[in-house]
Amino acid sequence: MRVVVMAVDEHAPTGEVWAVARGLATDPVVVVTPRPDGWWGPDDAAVKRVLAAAWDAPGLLGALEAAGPADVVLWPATDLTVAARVAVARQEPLWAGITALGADPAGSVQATQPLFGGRVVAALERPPGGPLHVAIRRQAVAALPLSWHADAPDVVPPAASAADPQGRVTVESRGAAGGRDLEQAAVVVSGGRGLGGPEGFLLLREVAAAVGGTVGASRAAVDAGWIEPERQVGQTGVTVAPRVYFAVGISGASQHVAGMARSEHVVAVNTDPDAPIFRYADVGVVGAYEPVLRGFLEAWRQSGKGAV
Amino acid sequence: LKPYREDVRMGVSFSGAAVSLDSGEATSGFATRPKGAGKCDALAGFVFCAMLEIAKERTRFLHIAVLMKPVHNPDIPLKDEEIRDPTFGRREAHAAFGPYDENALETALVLRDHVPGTRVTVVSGFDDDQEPLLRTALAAGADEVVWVPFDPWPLDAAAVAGVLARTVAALDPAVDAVLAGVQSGDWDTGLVPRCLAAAMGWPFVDGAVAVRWDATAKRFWVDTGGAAGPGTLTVPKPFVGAVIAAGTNALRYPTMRDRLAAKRKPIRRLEGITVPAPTAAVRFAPAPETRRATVFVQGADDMEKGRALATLLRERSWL
Repeated sequence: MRVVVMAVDEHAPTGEVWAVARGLATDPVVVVTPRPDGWWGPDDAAVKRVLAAAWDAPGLLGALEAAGPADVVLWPATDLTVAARVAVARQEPLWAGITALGADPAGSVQATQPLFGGRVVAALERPPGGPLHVAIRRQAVAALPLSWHADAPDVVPPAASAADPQGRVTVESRGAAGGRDLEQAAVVVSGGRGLGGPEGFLLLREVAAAVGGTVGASRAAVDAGWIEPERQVGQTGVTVAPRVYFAVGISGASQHVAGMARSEHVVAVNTDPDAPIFRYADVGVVGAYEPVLRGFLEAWRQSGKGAV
Repeated sequence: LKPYREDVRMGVSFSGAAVSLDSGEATSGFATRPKGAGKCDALAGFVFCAMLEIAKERTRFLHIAVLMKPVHNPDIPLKDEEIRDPTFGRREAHAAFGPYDENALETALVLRDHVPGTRVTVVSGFDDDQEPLLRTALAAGADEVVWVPFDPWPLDAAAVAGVLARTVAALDPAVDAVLAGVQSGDWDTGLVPRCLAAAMGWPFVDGAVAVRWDATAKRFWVDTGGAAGPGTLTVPKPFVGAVIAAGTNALRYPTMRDRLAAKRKPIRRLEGITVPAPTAAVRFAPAPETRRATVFVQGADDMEKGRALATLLRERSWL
């Protein structure tokens, strides 16, 4: 299985691509990097060739032309837009949201993909022939630790025939990204429709500050305008895997669970004892969130813990 | 009509009449007239053409296409037997539009509220009879539904986007922007809007929460949110935008009058769009249950339960 790894940077999505490549590639891989002075990869990576290209559609089309025949091109989950441009330009299929990828000796590629927020599993099989572009779902596999390899790559010119329409977009203003701290937080305190209004998030922020965490939200809370969209946890929003995840007033829709199911410990607070969220919780509290959290804060502070 | 600089330039270009206001000489269609006598005619012709073009441009309102896909209603739990049924995904008894597709439609309708005359066309592709659902989009305010009868489930996102690209290209008048939910609500890969932008050769904007039209600059202003953070972009027409929920774009609730009016609005079945063959085989199965062993915290009242929760978490050293 001839694999091309799109190694954009040192972050987890690239480490996840390397983890999948390790299990899939039978030959040394071709690495594509945006840096002309080196690339990010595991220490023991078996590499056939390293190509440096501009990280846009013309640049990466040029890199894939130079890479030669490939069976699978692996993309980080954070690079879907450019992956789409490249796959469409090359008229090759593109899969995303993949949680497991394998191949048989005959060259067929098999993949697993969750649907409907994880309620359904799709088993995909592509017969041998032609390259396939695959983006691995965030946090579906353990990312490999990456090191900097200061080997000078072959710098590849962009494909002559390609143009990138993304250049027509002008950024007029850009606020701080809100999802990064959520992804990396050890404790996430999330609220949903059960909070009843935006004021509920004030109490959640108080709890998050006391336990050294950050605040998240379900889609219902974001849709209601109670909190900014950057805070949304779920299949559409940020995928989190903290040490402790508090789900407060969240029913447990599968799309939300898909974004937090890999949390080490889950604490759910809900008035409805039959709420689906309790299926995914290690600790459950059936009650109104406000007195529960007030009691929690009181006891937490009395124990001498917490920053407040 | 209040012409502005760009409209006048367009008028000259459209008419093909080149007029020198300093010399009074005219070329093109006016060049054969006597030099002196043509001065007023040329000027009048120029003004007429310019005004005609301005009028054309001003009456050529925006045309927004919204991609809306019927999916299983997320409020109704899927049963294992439904998932194992061979028609799973192709025949849907509990169909609803993807929640983000509804946000996309509302975003288009808000744009139309601010740019009267804008046309909103819903584009949907599936191989099932979902007319009642399509009527709900018309009741919410869409002007027309264009339905392409094909089965997208065996196709990868790039192939689906190819079908949609051919559909959008066939719409008249030409589409100025395509809005779609950031994810569909079933496969949830978020790929189709990106692939559609690639197939059309248009820019793509992710995480859109509001779209405005600047008629002077002839650019869309797009407010964005989501994991990338809040921001504002400008982009010329046409473009593809993936819309997220933001609390400001929940789909409006139709009145009874809207529902009645929707019955008279057109649902156009678009035949003849080329659909590629599938490149992979797909099988579906219910996901294995991953239930955790939940310990419920007890207490005389909710405050007491909260205190007990703090004690439990401290004892387990989770925090």
